[in-house]
Amino acid sequence: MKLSEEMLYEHARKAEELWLNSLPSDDKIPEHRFSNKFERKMRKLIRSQRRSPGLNQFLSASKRIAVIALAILTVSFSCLMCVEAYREKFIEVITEIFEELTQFSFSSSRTEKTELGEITLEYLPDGMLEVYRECNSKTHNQSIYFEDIEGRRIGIDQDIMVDGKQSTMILDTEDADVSMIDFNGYEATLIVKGEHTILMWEDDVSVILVSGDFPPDEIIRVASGIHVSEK
Amino acid sequence: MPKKVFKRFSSFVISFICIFSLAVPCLAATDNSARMTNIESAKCTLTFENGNVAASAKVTGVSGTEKCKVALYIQERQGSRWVTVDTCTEEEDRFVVSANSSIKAEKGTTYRAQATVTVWVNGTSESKTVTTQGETA
Repeated sequence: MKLSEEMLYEHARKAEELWLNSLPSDDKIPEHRFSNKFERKMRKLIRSQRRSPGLNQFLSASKRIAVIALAILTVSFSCLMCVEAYREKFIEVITEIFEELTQFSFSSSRTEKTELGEITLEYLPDGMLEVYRECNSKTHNQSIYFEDIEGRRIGIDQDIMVDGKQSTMILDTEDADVSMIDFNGYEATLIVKGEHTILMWEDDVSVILVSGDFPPDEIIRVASGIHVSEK
Repeated sequence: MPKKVFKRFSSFVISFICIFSLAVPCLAATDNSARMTNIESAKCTLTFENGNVAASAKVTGVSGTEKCKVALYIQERQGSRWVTVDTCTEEEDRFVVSANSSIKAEKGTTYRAQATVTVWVNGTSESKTVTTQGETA
């Protein structure tokens, strides 16, 4: 027997009726429970269909920007664990913290010339005598050291920063208490390690460091009494 | 399908960055071979003055310092290398020593100062190297 298209067309309708009649009625078919994942996808799809194409594009772009920003923040955070940089007035400071020491790199954009002035002190602990003084007019820095009979020292170091000058300093900060304090309106770094204290700050023209074998209160008192005559 | 692969790859890369941003400081904490025991502070400076490039370096030792030494180098950049063009060494039997050096600066040349400082305490020496950022004349 040969099947023709007309025969198939005629019997297909009957076959459809037979197949549909064999199915249980709608009220006897149990309701299908879709998975939560599928339901969420459908709700998301319906929401996106309700929005205008322009809004959908905007939301898609926003998501991409958020992902890129997160990646940049993550990378930046990993760098900030090692290097902290900030700009304050004319003196730029880059602080690199290592386990055994901290390195400070100073530079300045200040073009105004400032000559080294004479350092005078309002206060020094009893028994301190000047043991070393150096003034370098070429590199614009000066140092004074005092010592008592017990061998305890206090040192004062001033480094005038001008445009084109680079200065790098390392300080022992291993197992030290390092904190930022307000000192005469300037942000100062206070490093305390055992009996030794270092106070360092940048004013408008120079980096000043006071260090000594004394507690922080005593070093801050010495630093508060420092005067540099202008030339 | 490629979009799914891209998402998985992006997640992997971001996770990798997050994990290693924490791992770096942890690894650094295991290295304790370069402590500052004899050296209290060290400084190196570079500046330009009247057509010259001037450098200075200073080291301060801790209490009980017997001797200090500063080897100061002025270096100029040649391509990707730093070449020493002037050297100055100072050594004194005291807790603080400084060295100074100055040479004529060539316009357009980038210079930096580098100092290797050494402090002796109880016959044991400790050295560190301090280097300034480069600066163009």
